[in-house]
Amino acid sequence: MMPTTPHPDLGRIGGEALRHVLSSLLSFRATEETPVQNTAEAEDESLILATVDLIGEHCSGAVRLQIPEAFARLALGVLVGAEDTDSLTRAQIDDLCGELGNMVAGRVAADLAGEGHSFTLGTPGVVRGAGWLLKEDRTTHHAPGATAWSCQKHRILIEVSCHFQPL
Amino acid sequence: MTPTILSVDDSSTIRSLLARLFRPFACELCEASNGEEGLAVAALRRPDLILLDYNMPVMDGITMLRRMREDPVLKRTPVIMLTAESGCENMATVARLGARDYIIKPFRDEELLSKIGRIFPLLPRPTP
Repeated sequence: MMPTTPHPDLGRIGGEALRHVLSSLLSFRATEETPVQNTAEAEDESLILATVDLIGEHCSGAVRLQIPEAFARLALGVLVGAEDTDSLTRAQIDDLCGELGNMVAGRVAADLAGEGHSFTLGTPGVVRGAGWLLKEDRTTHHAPGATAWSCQKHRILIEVSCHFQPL
Repeated sequence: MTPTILSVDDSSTIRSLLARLFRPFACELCEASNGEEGLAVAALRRPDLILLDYNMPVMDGITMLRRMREDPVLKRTPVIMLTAESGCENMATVARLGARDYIIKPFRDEELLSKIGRIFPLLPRPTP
């Protein structure tokens, strides 16, 4: 299938994917926030970064999610029916974040396939701390593939980056 | 007889989610975290259904499904694939290998229960 548009709107696709996953999996409603800036302190251990690579024949990229640990704990408690979310381990929380990243990336890949760009997903990677800089445009300081979301009083960032080879 | 369901997924979140989902039903749930472990547990427990993740380390779901189809004991065991990827090529491979169905993650509880209900009835767990 040939790409229908040379530059898909990655910010929109990522945001819709995140909203879909939070709604379908957890029945959580997410609302978009502006501006999209990553104001988190580097080395903040309460923030979890999940990354899933998008691997394509003619294009490659990644989906990144920045999730507060408190949100991940709440979400996992809902998913597994745990009343005492304090007893959930760090490994369980990290696994949840990786799985959220995997599902969001799957949805992103499905949307991009609809625009003619096919990908497979890499294995989710999860790290602690906000050592992540949005890929801002140098002149506008706008990160075109990133959106910020408010959900259950927590702030979640998503960025979809992709390098498309010229058609 | 109580049906046995084997969940093969590298994500502890998904395995725990399934454990919570099946708690009210009269069924035995066993688990494995990759295809290799899944084949070993399946040979031992002879499950009535396998819920099989697509992408896993060590051995992925497609390889496990292929190995099952070559195994005279496991080749007829119904499989529902669970995947975050919805690519047509993947789905065609899954269908060719005889998976009974597939479900895209995230899924709603009732969606999975409905697919299982087409394979065998899930009855409520008797109260003690």
